[in-house]
Amino acid sequence: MAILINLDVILAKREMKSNELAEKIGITTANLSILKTGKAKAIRFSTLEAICEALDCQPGDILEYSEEN
Amino acid sequence: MKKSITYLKYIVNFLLIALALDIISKGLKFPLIILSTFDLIHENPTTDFSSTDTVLLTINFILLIYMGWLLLKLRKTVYGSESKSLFSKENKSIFKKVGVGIIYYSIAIFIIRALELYSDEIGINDDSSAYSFGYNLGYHLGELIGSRIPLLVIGIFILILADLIQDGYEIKQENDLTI
Repeated sequence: MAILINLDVILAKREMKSNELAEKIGITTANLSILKTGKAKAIRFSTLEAICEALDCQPGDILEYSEEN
Repeated sequence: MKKSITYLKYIVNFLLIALALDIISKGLKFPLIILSTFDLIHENPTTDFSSTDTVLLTINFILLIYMGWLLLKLRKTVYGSESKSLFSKENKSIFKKVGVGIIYYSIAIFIIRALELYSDEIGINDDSSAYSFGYNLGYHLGELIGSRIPLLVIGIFILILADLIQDGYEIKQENDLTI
């Protein structure tokens, strides 16, 4: 996948658990897992905004472009 | 969606009953063939079976069973989609198989009917009149083609439905995987 999700790294830096984040941003842990594993096809701006707000970070900290597939 | 699926369920059930009756009526001819082969029946004129008739009847019988199997497959799809969405990979593959199967069936049954017509009704030597032969050929062939076209159209429409289900499945996947 060309777009990598670095949610795990940010979560580890903030010492926050996945279910805690899921609860804060109002999505299910299953959906958060889909996002973390890179299975998601798209992400809503509202979800991205909620994640950035909860983790106090920028979208670029979560998403990363890689040339390798 | 559920309402239209219920109507489809009724149509498939009705078609299955009609097909079962047709299979029974065709299947009952086999004992007659066996009896006439062993010269056990002489009086009934309908028991006069040639080897071509037997072959055509057997192929026709097999085709009817094949059609029944296709309808059962379609019925399974209809019943299976009660709880989940119609847009699934299984439904797509079943619709595609049924569509292709109906197209093959309509072509095969057209050939069988044409052969039956050729051997039974038109008969080149039956009538010396060229006009009468031409009229019979045109009339029966026209009727034959006309009666098979709706089935062919249904098959094509089912294939289009299969493509729509595939597209729907992809869109649903995209929607489901949008977080």
